[in-house]
Amino acid sequence: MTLDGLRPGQTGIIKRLDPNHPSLIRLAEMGMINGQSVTLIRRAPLGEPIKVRVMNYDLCIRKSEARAIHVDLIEEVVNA
Amino acid sequence: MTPSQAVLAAPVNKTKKSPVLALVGNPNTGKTTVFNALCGARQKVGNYPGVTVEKKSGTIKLDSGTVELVDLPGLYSLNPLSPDEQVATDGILAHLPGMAEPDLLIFVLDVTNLKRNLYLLSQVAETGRRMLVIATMTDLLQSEGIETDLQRLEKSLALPVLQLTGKDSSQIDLIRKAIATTLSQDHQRQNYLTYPEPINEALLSIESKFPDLSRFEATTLLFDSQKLTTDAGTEEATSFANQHASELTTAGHELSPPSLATLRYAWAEEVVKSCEKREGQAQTISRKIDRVLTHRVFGLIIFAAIMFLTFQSIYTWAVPFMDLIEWGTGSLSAVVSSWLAAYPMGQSIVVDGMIAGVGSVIIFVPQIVILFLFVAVLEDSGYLARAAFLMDKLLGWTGLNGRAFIPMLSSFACAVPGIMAARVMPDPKARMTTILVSPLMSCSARLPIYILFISAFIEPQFGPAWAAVTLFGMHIIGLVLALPIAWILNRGVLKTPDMPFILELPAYRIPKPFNVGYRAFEAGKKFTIRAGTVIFAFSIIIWALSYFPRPEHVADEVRASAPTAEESVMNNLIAAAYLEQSYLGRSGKAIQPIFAPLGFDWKITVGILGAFPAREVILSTLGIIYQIGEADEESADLKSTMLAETWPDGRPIFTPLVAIVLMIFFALCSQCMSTLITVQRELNSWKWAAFLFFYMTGLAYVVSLGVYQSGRALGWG
Repeated sequence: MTLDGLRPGQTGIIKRLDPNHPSLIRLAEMGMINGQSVTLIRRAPLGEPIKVRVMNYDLCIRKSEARAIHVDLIEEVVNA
Repeated sequence: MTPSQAVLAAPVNKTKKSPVLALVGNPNTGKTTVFNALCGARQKVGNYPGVTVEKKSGTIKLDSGTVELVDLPGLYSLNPLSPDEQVATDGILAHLPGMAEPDLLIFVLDVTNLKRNLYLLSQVAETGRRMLVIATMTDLLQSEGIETDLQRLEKSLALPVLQLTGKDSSQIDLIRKAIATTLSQDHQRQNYLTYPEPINEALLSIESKFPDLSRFEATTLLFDSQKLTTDAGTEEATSFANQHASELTTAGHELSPPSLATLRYAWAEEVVKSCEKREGQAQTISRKIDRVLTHRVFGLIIFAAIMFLTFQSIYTWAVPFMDLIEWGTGSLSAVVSSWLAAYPMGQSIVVDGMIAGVGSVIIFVPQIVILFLFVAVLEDSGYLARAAFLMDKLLGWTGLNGRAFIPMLSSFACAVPGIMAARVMPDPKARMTTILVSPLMSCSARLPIYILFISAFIEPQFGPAWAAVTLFGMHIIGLVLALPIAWILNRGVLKTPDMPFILELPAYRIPKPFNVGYRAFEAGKKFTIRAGTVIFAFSIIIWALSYFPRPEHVADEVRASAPTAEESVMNNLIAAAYLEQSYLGRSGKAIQPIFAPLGFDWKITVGILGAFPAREVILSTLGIIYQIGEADEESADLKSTMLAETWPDGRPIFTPLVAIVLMIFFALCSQCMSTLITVQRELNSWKWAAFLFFYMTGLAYVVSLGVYQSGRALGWG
């Protein structure tokens, strides 16, 4: 599954990034690297963009970026 | 040899007058606070040649003399994505025109966000420059449930680490001493990362063959063969590195920018482990605030309220200051008029040309200052990022993103500060689109025109409800057209690349009053100085066109035709006659056929031409043409004269339809010299300023034509 598929409060561990995504490098530089855990905090009122938490800070990305981040869901619900 | 290699060979340049320091760090780390604490008011704002990024620099007094400190824009990585990041990267690598090679980098490190800050630090350290670290936000550690041992951090980094919280003078003294010490000491290069052995060997091999390359350049060449071939090292080094890279890849090692990022973060993780303890998931204040401010219902309500407050304040708080400026220019005009009474032409050029022209510009200063106070508070508090989060979807389809909302909204007060606020857009093309559509928002200068025509032609016939609807419609038409135009500009004209929208939502902070005030002050000062000069010249041109030629016989003929008129009436008649036969008046008559399909006569046409410096000037021009002297939106004389105006065949010129068409024309046209000059300044291009003028005028014409002709077809006057 991809980061976009998480429900608010769910956390995933990053498995891989889509190697052809145009923002691949910046996503990695902002902390989206393999093995890192990332939590989907909430979606904007119109469904997009989404707010995620990675490396203890909050980041806003669009669905198109979230779909490039493949994650394994872990059963840990974090209070948004 | 690139400049960054030169500094490695000779770390201290003895011929330089004073050492140059650069302030480097992630956005939202309190860099501006550090800069202001170190430099105080000893700072100036300029521009880097060729780019519109602001160059902020100041001086620090050390015991040994003064040093220059350049505040580079915040950046996340030395692989730049925005003009700001490009400038910061070039500054660090000493490729930046207009800035000397930095002798020392002061790295601002937000300890509450240590890991991601260390990512950039690892890149910057590899450039081989001298570095000193200032840890910020240390006062927030406790409330966020973090314990950080700065001494251990210093040991892990092998760099001096100092602390700065606010304006603590003992901390600032320590920083000054550390700067002096670091500048005087020999410089030790830091290589933090541990690479798998074959990759490490390849790096050492590249470095021994090309000793001028910094570690950052060597790793970039090895891990990202496409990226830096143009600005790092020679072609020879690139092909040598590529050879190593392909061997390593064949042997199964992953060499890509993300794999390099993984190595950097592995190092950062080690450093964090050595000095930081975190209590699980602390429920920080920021996260609690965010639950309300980005809520799908309350978030939007609060956003609307904040925007309304901003907008309202620009309208209302600016009024006394604008009145004061108006009073000042009015008094000055009166005084100068009496001095120059003996020289009518000199009087006119100074009063009607210079004072009126410059007055029409500085009248915007209060609004600019107030808007920038709000923008600074919203940005420094962290709210601006949330506003972009909330609004992104609404603007996304046009090729813009959430950040464009602030400049567009600001433009409802005045396009000038709105255009300046478009600096928040990271992509240069998206910024250009934002600048080109923002002036479509209905600014406060359009209001006097709406009020005059609505109160003269709509309210008396259709009642106050329709008057309000018309006023609302005039404010909404620009916004409704701006979005599809942004779409056309982005997709069709500028080919704006699809922008990633990867935006940090920083923790909320209380803005520092000095930072906020200084920013507003700078914005006002810059506008006054920059725009004042060109607008001054344009004002004189427009004045000359409405003044010349001025043959004596025109006045004589007026006097002869109405010998019994009172002096004031006579003066108004003469002024109208002169305006009619001036170059401006003649041009108005000559091009009136173009405006005839919109229902405008030559007098309205002259009003439109004369309003080139500022929309509201049409009121005073119409006042002169209709022979009633000084006029504004409340002039009863002007209203009654307009109602009585007829075509030669006796039909009234001003019908409600013509009034609406004229309002639409002024809602969409670009009759504002300040806006055009600001666009020219911001985009550093007369071409785009001209484009703005022609596209908005064309749009105004086409929409007005459509409305007038449809209205006629439906039988509305």
